[in-house]
Amino acid sequence: MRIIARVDVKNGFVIKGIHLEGLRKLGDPKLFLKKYYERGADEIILMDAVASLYDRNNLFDLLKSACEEIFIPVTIGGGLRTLADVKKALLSGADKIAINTAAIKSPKFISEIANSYGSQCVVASIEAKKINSNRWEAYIDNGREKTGLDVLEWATKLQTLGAGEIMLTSIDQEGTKNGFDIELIKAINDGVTIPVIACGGMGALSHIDSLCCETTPSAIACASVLHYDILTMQSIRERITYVNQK
Amino acid sequence: MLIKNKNIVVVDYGLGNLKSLHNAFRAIGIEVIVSSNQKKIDNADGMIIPGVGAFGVAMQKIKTCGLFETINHFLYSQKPVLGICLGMQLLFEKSEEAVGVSGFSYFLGDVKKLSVENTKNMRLPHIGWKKLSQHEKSTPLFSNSILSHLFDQTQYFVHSFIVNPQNSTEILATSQYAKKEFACAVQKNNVIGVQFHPEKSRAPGLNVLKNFVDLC
Repeated sequence: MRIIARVDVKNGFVIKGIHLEGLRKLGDPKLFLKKYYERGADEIILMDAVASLYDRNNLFDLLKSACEEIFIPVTIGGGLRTLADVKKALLSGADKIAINTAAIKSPKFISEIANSYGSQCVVASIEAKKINSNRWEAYIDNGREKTGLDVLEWATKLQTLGAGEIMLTSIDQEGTKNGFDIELIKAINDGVTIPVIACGGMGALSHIDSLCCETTPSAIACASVLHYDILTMQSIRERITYVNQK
Repeated sequence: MLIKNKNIVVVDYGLGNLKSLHNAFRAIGIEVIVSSNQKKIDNADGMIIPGVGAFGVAMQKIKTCGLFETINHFLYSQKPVLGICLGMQLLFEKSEEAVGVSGFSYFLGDVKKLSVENTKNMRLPHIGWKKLSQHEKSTPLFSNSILSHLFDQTQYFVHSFIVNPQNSTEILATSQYAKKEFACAVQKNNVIGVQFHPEKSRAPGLNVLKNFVDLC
């Protein structure tokens, strides 16, 4: 299981909310990215938190300068909606592109990126909110807008369209540090054959144990636990190794 | 500080992300030439064949760019060549990914899909950091190679296909996915291929590129 450091940025600051809301400013994104690279993250995900709302992505300059010093895979997301945006992101140094809102509005966008740059370049991002037991609805615009789409059906469709990975964020757990939405991750992980990145809720080492008892996603994305220095990358990695050996 | 006297070309045939390679070489002091110009490729001291995406599309693009002969000529020139990921796969005869399409056939053997027996544990693409093991038949080759420092180190992989070299003495190193061993680095004469991405694999990966430059 890979460990991905997720950094959400708004107006030049690293921010962190709870349930993707109530965003708090935490500092200079470049310092965070470098820190997570140096501390041993397997990958980095950089998200423009408000870009899709305002139709823009401001992170290209940051991405460009960060990628001159970071030699692990970097994914960028937030507000990318055309092949020209994708090209600009890749030329700035990104390896993968995370797409949510633009895919909901035009599903063939996923296929277009996959055809031009390969499936490994496309991370389909899903923001999931629980409706009732074993049913989740997909949201867009950083958890603000409902889509009416069932998350499991949408995930399967994204795989068919050519996505190489799914980044699955639980809006209910996001920022709470109360643990993953294990039912959600298990349902989607069982429903697709591409790698799934579990995102939202990581707050303690025991959350890895309870997740891996039920299902093993290909990666976990961590934000709060790293931003607030609650856990070290090293301790997370040791726990994953320990759980895998059991 | 940039070293100017090494002329390394990254072949640009219109596929994939060359910025990462450019950045990685920059970090070790080399300003690579990213080019599809035949003359620039011919004149280079060393050639990198990058590549992400699909086998069939890549061979098609190489031909459309008029680079098949240029690359093929370079392979037999004695000058160092490094194929990365799909760039290594193209050096084989053919791939399950594109039936009927021929590769460069510099290495004998074909490219196969990683077999998926249990989708719960074995997903495609295979993405992640994996340890390299020295291949049993390649002991002298490995320790004299540009990968010699990678023994027991991890490198970053993202792929769904693997190479299946006919001549196992050409296998430099292997790795594992879902407990299955596969060839992740090959070498024949001046030509080296790696399935992982040294440009995305921290300092040990950058060292692979540095060792390659030293050969040139």
